[in-house]
Amino acid sequence: MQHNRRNFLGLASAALAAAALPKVSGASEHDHAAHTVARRQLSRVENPVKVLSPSTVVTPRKGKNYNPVLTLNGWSLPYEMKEGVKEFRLVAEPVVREFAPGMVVNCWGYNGTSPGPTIEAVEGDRIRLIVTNRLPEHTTIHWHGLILPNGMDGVGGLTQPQIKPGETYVYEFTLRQSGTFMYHPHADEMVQMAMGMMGMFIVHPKNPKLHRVDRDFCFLLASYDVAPGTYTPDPATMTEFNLWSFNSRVFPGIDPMVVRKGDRVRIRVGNLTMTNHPIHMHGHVFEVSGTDGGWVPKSARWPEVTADIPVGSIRCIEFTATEEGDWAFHCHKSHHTMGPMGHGIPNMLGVKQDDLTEKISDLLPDYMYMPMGRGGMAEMQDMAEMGMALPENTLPMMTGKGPFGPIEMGGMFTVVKVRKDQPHGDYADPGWFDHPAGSVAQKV
Amino acid sequence: MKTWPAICVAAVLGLSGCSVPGKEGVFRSLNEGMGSNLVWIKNEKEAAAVEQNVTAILARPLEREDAVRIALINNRSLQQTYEEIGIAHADLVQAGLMSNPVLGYSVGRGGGVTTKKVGIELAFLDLLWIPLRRELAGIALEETKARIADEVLQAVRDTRKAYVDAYTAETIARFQDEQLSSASASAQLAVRQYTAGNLSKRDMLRMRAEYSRARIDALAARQAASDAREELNKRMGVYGHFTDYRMAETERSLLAPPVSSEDLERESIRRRFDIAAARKKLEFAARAAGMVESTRLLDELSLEYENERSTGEARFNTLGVKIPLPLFDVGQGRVESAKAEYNQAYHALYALSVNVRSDVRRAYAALRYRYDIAAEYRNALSGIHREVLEETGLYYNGMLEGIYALLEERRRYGEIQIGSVEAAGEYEKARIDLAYALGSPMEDADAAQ
Repeated sequence: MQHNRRNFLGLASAALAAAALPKVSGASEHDHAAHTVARRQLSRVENPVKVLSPSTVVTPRKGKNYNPVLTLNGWSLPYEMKEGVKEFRLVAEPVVREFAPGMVVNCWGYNGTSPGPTIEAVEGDRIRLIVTNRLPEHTTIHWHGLILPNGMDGVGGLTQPQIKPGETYVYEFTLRQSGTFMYHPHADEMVQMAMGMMGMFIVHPKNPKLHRVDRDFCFLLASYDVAPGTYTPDPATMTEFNLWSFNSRVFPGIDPMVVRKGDRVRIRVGNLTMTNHPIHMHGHVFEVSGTDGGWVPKSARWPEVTADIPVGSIRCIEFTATEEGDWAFHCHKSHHTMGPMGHGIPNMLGVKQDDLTEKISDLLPDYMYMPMGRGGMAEMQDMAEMGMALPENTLPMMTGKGPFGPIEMGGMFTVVKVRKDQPHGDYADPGWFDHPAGSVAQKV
Repeated sequence: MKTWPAICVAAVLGLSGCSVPGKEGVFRSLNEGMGSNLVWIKNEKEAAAVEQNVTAILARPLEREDAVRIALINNRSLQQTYEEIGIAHADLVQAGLMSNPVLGYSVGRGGGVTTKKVGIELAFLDLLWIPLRRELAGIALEETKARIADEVLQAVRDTRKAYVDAYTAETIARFQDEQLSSASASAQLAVRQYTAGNLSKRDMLRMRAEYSRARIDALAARQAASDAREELNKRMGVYGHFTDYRMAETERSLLAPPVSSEDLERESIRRRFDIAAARKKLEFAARAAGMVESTRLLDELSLEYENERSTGEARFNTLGVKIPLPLFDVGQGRVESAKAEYNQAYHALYALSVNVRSDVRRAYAALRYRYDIAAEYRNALSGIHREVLEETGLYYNGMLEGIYALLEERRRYGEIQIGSVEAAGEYEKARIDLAYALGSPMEDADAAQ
């Protein structure tokens, strides 16, 4: 009964937030109008399949002396001013995250989502972070990249006692730098990060004119091993992950990055997976303008179309959206743009199988069987199109549908949509690009 | 005095002529006692009728009880057993006959005188023992009947089991063919994968080896099926084109066994025909001992009549009695032997009862466990493995696992199917064994419970 009421309140306030923001798709469990943590109890939802898909909610600009970031499929954490201190409340708790329509994962996160909400503040701010632990085990929060008093660094055992379940700790310090940072536990890291405990920490420059861009996107790279047919990531996995995500969402469940032609755009990418990710953007040349160490001096930047994001690092890239269209933006490790896939499946390239179909079908009478892999794995896409059944809570290996057919991508992939008539400040998806006549490759 | 012999013969004939039911009647009463429908082939015409009957039964897919029916009318070993009724019956007839009188004729010559003697000797008291003897032979016939009834039930049991074995073996052979088909698909793909350069020779050879093993299994299953079928053929007593029958595919039900074996033990002692036979044997021994006791001194008593005529002299008639003098043999050997035989029969009945009770308990326990095993297969394991197979199909769809994994899972499912069929067969055989142990007559084993 109690959690029903909470859900109701959460939805009601999300609807409020959505109403204020035209064309933001779907509802959100995030609450920006009022923000008592008690309202975000996703972990208490009994049937995870029914959990709403959080879509992007743009933090209101009003009253802000900075241009807020847009967290892909995420949100920014509201704060309250208390005697000149910006007070943020974070609750570490089990949550359920929808990775893409049709798939939900039992994660651990903050304030109802994984990754947790983005913390945004301004250089020079005094901030207070009140952290409550509702996990079944102790935790801490480490403020990755921030310069702060040693005792605020959040390393369990080294700089503070671990926060036991049910306990609340307060971190308080002044933000001495601007840039892009992260927060994540520094207690039982292996489990807690594998379960999705992480978030971004954006510190805007005191002078809003410094490093100013028109659109500022951010997301974290995280990898999960959710075995087909299961809901909970395996925290012991080190290399064989099957879900490669932007903010714990996988394509086609990832928001596109919508910009207006001519906009100066920044994309901040943090990497909390266990491998590096060469993030590649089509159609534009960009520069790496910042890391979790701070801003890169303009003189030190060089042009790139791929930025390798090392493990435990952040890269901010900047470009001017000069080229209209729908531009792919993805990790260049091709397995990272695939959904769950078998790595031990026999290589059937060039192997004729169809004449055995009948023989095998006879043995498996109750469902359809078709030979796969002879010409490649694109049949997978056809099968996904046909709605072929997969194990419970499992996404197809390749998926996504574009205006010209299957996109055959999953995982770390999204689209940068550059439109000349996209209104300023409007992030709503404009749909597929309408190509000018004669500008599309064609069959001859 | 001339009338004496005539009276004696008439009396003997009169006594021995007492009516005894014909062996047909005995066989009929056996049939009625068992609620069965046995046929005793005694001539060509009856043989032809049976053959016609067998032909008609075998024209349709063979059910288990059809096989039993055929065995009961067509199995020549059983027919051979039925003849024991004839033998026992003949003994009974024999027992009603008085021993034949002995006719003696002698000629003596000397001194010009010829003496002719005509004598007739009759073991007269034998006449008195006829009712006793007939009673004994009657008991022996009853014993034979019970023994045959038991043998018929054994034949029923063995035929039913042979049918179950044949059916199970045939089903398993079919499943093994499916296993082979799955292994063959794997091996074919492996060879193609190897040819395309995608699989190492070693792995390809391993797949081929697996196919080979599956082939051996399939062949062994076929051999086992033909073996089991021959056993059934033997039970039914068929050969030639009669062996081309098809077995009916029937859904086999799992009836829960009775909750306890206690009543069953009592039931078995009451019903079993081998117990009845042993009882009759004991009764026989008791009566036989009694007869020996009452006849130990007198059964060699004989009556003699002699007519003597010498040349030139008048006839001389002699009437005499011969009694053995119990000086040395007072029948003690025979009495002791009869007593020992009685004791033996008593112990035999006792031992049989103990064994039958044990057999019932054992058959009951076997049925309980076989039921639980078969039910586990049927109600859980088969379904679970089928679901595993279906889930594996989903993994295959998602390219999460390859075709080999799918085919392998199919083979694991096949193994469970085989195990399940075996378990169902074992359960059915346990049921059949219990029915026999209970001395349950012809109707299906289930009716007894």
